[in-house]
Amino acid sequence: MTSSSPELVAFGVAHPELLDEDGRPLGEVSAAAYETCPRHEEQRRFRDARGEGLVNLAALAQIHQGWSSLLETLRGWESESAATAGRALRRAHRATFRARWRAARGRPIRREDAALFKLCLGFGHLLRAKLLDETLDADAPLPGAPDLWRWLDEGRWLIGDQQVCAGSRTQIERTWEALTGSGTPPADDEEERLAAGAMIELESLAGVAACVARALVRSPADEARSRAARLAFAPKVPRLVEDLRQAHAAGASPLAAALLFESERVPASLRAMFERLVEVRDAEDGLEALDRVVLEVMAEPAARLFARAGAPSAGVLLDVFVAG
Amino acid sequence: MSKLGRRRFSAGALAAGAAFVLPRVARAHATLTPSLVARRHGDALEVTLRLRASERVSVPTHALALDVRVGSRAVAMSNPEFDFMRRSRAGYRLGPPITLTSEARDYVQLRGPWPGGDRERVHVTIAIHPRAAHQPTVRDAFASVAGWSGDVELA
Repeated sequence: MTSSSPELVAFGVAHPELLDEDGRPLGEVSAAAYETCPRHEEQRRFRDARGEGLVNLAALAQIHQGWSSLLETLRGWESESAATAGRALRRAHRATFRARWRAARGRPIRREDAALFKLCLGFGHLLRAKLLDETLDADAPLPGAPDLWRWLDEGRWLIGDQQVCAGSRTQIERTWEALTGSGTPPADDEEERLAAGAMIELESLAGVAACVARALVRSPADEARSRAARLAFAPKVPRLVEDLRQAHAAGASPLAAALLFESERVPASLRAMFERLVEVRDAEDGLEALDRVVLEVMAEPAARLFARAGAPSAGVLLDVFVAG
Repeated sequence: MSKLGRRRFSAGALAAGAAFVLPRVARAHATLTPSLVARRHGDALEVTLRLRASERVSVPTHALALDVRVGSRAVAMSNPEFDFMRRSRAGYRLGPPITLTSEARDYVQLRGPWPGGDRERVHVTIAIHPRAAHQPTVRDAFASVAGWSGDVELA
């Protein structure tokens, strides 16, 4: 298996280009394929920071079609666990993982999988940012709609590079409530749950490696010899890795990646990575030591992720985190 | 106990983690001074964002957007090194992230077509916006060059 294998494309930075059964790219306007898919855009006015902006009604229509079922799915995931911000992030992450997981196993991406992806992509980004800057606590419940709206407006979270979020205020609040609330557990796909858990772990490890590498890189030549250095400076990396890079650039410790998880749920691989940073700090060649450490700690979650698809090396996975 | 403290890491991991923390952009004793220069270079308009700091700091330029206008008309800017640059509502995204070295200075340069046609002088307005959801420290650091304007003419 190489970094261009379809299975790995689904887990790499090129996944927004994956097409669903309607021929729409998962990444919508951020994907090159958006230019050739059916489009329906319109100027809309909102009563919040979005003001007047261009919205993607074709993507919104996908979400409308399965609206109740999408919210029910979110409420049902891990409903037996405590209603924490950590659980909300796992739900948002899994919502964006399902379509990729199907594509990785050669299955078509259903409309509802694509809708779930688009519904939760922004919420995942917001939750990670608020956990990393310690506004949110992974062990505590999410606050209500007033705080959500203050964050969305102040951070201009609903305003994208080319379009604004098309969802109504009511839809946004109901999705937030679904990420927080509890419902009937769906007929679960245990394999998907485990794979989603492995993926968030792998992206966190890659993010930690990117942050540490950024403090170690001394010249552009370092990027040619170190995967971690490439992760530190690549213009396009997985969103979770980018969120960790931004938090680190603002002064956070690489250990802040643990804030994405409840205290008792910090993955063993992430703890192992942190313990082994001592080796990296004390090594004569820190980048070489970092590459070795991150590949070793990624091996177990990578094997979990690929249990059914053959186990590529963790190095291949790191490559698809920066390859377009 | 702090949120990170509740994760109970060993003293060794905490110390190693601290060794890899980057200096903050807006730390009390570190000053970051951005400045903008616009000039004509042949048939091109060249805009340079210069960064100077009192010590080694990290500047997430990949999360800034640069909007260059002549009157109400936006000028398409690009940098051949950054193929991911793309127009957004806020302007052109800069990047990649820069960590100022011990020399504590660096720059990002963009080029666009000369917007003046036959005119040898144009009045250019440049706005720098932190991209959506960016850290407040970055917003503060770049507030001083948030709205730059000046005349650019044939040298």
